[in-house]
Amino acid sequence: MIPLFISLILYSFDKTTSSAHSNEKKHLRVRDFLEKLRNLPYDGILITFSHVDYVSNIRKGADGKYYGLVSFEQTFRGYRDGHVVYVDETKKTTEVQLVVYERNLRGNVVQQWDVMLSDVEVVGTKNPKP
Amino acid sequence: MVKTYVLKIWIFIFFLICQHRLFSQVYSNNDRAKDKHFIYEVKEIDEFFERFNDAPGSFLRGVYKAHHIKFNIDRQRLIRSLFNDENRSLDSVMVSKFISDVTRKKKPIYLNFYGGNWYAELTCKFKYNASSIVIPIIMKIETAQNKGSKWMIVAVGSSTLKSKIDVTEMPQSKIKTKIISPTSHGTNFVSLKRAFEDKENLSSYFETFYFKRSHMLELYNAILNREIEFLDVIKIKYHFLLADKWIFAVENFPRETMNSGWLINQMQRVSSFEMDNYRNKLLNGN
Repeated sequence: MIPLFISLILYSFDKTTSSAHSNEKKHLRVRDFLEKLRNLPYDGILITFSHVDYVSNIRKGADGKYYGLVSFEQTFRGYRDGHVVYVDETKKTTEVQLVVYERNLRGNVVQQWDVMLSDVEVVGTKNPKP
Repeated sequence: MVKTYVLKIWIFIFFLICQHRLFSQVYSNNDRAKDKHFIYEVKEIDEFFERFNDAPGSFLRGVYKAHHIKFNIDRQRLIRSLFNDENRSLDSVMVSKFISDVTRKKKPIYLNFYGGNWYAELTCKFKYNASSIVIPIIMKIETAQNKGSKWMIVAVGSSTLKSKIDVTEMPQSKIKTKIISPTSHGTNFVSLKRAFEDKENLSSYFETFYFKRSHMLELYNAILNREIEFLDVIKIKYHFLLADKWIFAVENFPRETMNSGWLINQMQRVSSFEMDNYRNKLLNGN
């Protein structure tokens, strides 16, 4: 599953991680991040999202690609023996790339674009109030 | 609109795959207060621009529209909400004058993302001589011939860094399309890590015109010679130089009030001479 996911993205992007126990952010490559997630000491985890997310204007880069930002909030719950043993709320921002290219379809040149995930930044992590 | 939906679908796919061998995800609504906070917080500097300009397609207007609520917040109120209301040292009279000036009916003043009169001051932490060092880096949005844009390093502040200067002229980068993307600010400029590791194309990220500015050569050589290693951006402060008379600084205030996120924390009215001095000082006295 992890190699499949890696193959879906443009390049190994950086992801910052944090936890409510520590203010220090760590930069991880996506493969390391997914491995870390898989090895968490929980029987299961549940991630829920706020209903709103912010999508910035799409901006053209000097490299010809298009870039956008998506900000959202998530709540992470770690379960052991059916009980919640860890909870945090995290605000994240992800950079998304739109790569535009031309493709020849039955003699017609059509413009197409791919959407790729890029860097993911943890803006902040906190323990929710009871 | 289509692009927005595609982005959301991608975010969904990303987290769906992240939960491999774990519970399937449940998208559920958290409490309304949290959503409300998210709506009013100035989450990105992009949103600061939207609100300052009262852009027709702003996130806030979109939320009101989605909830069928009439948007009756005028630009003056929007701009007032962009000041850090916990900063007692902000002169309220000056703030009012500023708001009146930028929202005047005849030739109102707007912020332009590509306009060039704003800078990001990054407080960066590097690994240096088995310990860490803090180096301020000033970045600016620059527009290319293809009308695309990128963040470029235009100045470096003073620090205790002492580097051997081997390279005194900016070399050509191997791949000319290597850039720090125009949305890197949203991810706390984490892409600088990748840029500074890319020694072959290092010159792509530095503004050639300002290369010989004090400290710039030193930083470039230190990175190239692997004397320092980029660790993180500790803090970001944006400097806006507006209409030859207003200077204000925007910083992030991540707190659980509606007045949170990227907010104006310093403001001064200046003469054009004072503005030049401010810019020169920011860009390292040149």
